[in-house]
Amino acid sequence: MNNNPYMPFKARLVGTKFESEDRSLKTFEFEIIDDEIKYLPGQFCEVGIYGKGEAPFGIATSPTEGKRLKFTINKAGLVTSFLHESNKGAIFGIRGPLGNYYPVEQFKGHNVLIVGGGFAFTTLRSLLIYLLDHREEYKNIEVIYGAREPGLLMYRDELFEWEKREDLNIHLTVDKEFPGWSGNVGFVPQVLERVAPSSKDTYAVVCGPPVMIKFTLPVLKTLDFKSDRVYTSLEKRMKCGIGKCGRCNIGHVYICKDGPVFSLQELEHLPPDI
Amino acid sequence: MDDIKGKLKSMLRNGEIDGVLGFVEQKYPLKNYPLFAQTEDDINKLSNSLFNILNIGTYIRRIKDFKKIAVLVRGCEERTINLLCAEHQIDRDKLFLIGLPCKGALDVYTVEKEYNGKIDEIEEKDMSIVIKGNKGEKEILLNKVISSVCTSCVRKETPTVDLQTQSLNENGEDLIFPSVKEIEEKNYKDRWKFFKNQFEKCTRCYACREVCPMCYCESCFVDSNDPVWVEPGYSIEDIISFHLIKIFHMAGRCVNCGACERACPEGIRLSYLTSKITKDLIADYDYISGKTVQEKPMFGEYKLNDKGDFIL
Amino acid sequence: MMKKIKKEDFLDYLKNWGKIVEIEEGIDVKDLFLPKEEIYLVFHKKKDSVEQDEFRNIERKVVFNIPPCYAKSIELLDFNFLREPLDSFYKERRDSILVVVKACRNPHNFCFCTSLGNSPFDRKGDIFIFEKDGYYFAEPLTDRAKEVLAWDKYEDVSQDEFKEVELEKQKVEKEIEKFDIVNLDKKLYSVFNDKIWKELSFRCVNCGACTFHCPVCYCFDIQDVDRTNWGYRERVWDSCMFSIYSYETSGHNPRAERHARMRNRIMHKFAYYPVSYKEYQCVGCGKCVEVCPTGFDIREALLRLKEVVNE
Repeated sequence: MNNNPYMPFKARLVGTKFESEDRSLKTFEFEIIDDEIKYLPGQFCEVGIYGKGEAPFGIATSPTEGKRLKFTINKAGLVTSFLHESNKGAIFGIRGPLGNYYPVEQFKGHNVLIVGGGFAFTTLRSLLIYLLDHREEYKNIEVIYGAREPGLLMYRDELFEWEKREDLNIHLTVDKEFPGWSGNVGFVPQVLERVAPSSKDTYAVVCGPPVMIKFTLPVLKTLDFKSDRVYTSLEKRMKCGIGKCGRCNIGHVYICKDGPVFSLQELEHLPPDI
Repeated sequence: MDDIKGKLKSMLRNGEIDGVLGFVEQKYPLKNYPLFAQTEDDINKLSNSLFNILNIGTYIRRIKDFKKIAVLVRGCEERTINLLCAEHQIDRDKLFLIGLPCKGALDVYTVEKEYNGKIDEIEEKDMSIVIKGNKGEKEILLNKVISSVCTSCVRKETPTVDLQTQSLNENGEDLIFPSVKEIEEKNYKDRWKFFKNQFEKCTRCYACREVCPMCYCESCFVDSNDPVWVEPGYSIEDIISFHLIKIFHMAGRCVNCGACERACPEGIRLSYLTSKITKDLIADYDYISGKTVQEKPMFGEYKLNDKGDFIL
Repeated sequence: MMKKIKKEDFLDYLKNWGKIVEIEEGIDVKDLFLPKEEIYLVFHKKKDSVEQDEFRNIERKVVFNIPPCYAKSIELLDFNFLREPLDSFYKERRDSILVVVKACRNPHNFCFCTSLGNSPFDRKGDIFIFEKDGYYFAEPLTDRAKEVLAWDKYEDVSQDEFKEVELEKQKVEKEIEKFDIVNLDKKLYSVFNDKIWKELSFRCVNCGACTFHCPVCYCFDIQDVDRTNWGYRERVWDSCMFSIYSYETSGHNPRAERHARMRNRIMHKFAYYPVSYKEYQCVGCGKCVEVCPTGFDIREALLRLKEVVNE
């Protein structure tokens, strides 16, 4: 972090890659110029385009992968549309790392269940790679990840590599039958119900669109996951990223500063203002 | 007012209406607030006074799921509702309008300036108000403290309502717009100085936009970031752009009720703009907005004899 | 220690410290500490690079004559901006402004500072003053205030004079309407889903007048201005009453409804802020009541809420 949290690090765009077949998702790889951002999985950055503004994105890389940062970004608003049109070599301003992270220290010596949906898999990728790079420190790792259709699954090359690994159980699913798809079919909560991972000694991390979260949490409850063992990462409109500007509050906490990672137990004590 | 309340209460009892929308007198007397009265007790609270500084039309669209509601309206509010109906924002058949006599609305800032002290109470008389407070008792003539738009009101009567409470004698007086005249007499330099002084006070709180019954867009041009019509910040160009674009959107739709001016916490004289468009529309097109439900907004319709000399 | 200093002498000392800005109350006080518009980054786009500079515009000032409630509001702003991570723009401004507070002897109709445990004669800011016959009775309250002038050179106010200040204080305090909202904060959570918010917010037009004029509301937006090959980034005031404030790019808005925005404003002041800082985020200046186009009275709203939470 700079001394002044409002001043961005200058960063160069060094690579881009389409992540979905419909070309709405793109991964951007940045190199921080003459500096480094030290972070942990789950943290985010404000990626700024000089003259257009800043927008918050979860870091998709794991700190174990090196100094470069990757963000996978959906084309939606002003900043993201401009990003999608940017070329390699362009200079951006990045502020970070911001927010808290998945409690990877606390997970040590336990099983970890990762449940993700749609394009919310970015910080989950960071977490998964971090866990795999410290594989011996964690027990079973189980991943359930789904998207509307196969073309919308992110990081596909990696997903298929992970499927081959012995030290990792990964269940990929798509919402409905699709030509050429031989994997699971069904919504993420249904697959979770089918896989029924044991809650004993296990931490769960859930990230996805609100509707997926809504139907996944009851399944975790029937599987007897306690609310202090289930973590999720929240999103809201953000500006400053450091808990000053006000807009991302839920009750007295600010998602940008006190989050984005919360346990269900923490959320139970906050007003339903999401 | 008591007769009307009696009638409204019986309509409520008979199930003819779901409630009555009107203004309620407030403890601190400079600003009355709107209430959707759904009980007889609430109907008793409704009032018609100089302190109804907003336009009731702003609140109609907030009431959801109703068969029929009664609305207490003054001249400008009646025309607002006609316009909202013409723009398909509300259904006239679901409204029961009661026309109220109107002496105009108080200009809060002028009142405060005239008294220059802590006001405890204001009594409304026929042609004046009597203010009591820490500077003693002071009587001020109404024409001194009435909103400038009200002194040049295009129609105080309410001919299109369902229940009349005043006689309809269309006044034939020539309308004078003192604020417009004042500006028109200035040279360009002084005009710029005047408006610059006014708009420098703007904090972009958008109270003028939010209280305006005709500013009902779901998303406002000023909030758009792509394209950027008005830049963030407080440079005078941007503030004036906002107010001018807003007023262009209002041409032919503005009833010159003056709610925007009275709502402005900085006391910016927005009526200088609204009165100008009102005056020009009368002069150039003989058009008064919202006269009837059938009539379309000025620029929502094209007539062959429309003046076209401004087109290059 | 309260010293008796000739008015002219005192003002000369202040002038030596910084430019005197005389404000009695209102929106301009907050503007000094958290400007409506603050450009903080200027950039120039080159062919393959961007140059960015931090932009500061800070001048030593003395804010003179504000009432104690406004001085209290600055303390409440400190909680947000001086906690980690430190907001260096705010900090520098704060350090460059000497706050001279004048005893409030003319409370208006909307004042309710005493209900929040404050007093119109609270010793707040750097220097507290009470004006009397060409003199100021002045009391330095902070270390930097002690350096403004050689206080020892001046005699203390007499016992009678001190008594006069105390009597005036009691007189003014009595003029201010007082009501009880102690411990409302925790109970407000229980009415989060109550219909009371819809009732209260019916009249609210969701403009930003109350929040902009509130000396403690600090929400801001960060925006870029583009001038082709250069531009700047600035922060500008924002208001939680605007729907775009919490509108997300996805189209979702957690506070799309008017009552949700009013609920957040009131709960932030009277429920959330106390959780973080043990104090209400309100000083009882009544400015929001004064500027509201619909005359929304926060005092009545709080009393109404008190009824509802106790039902």
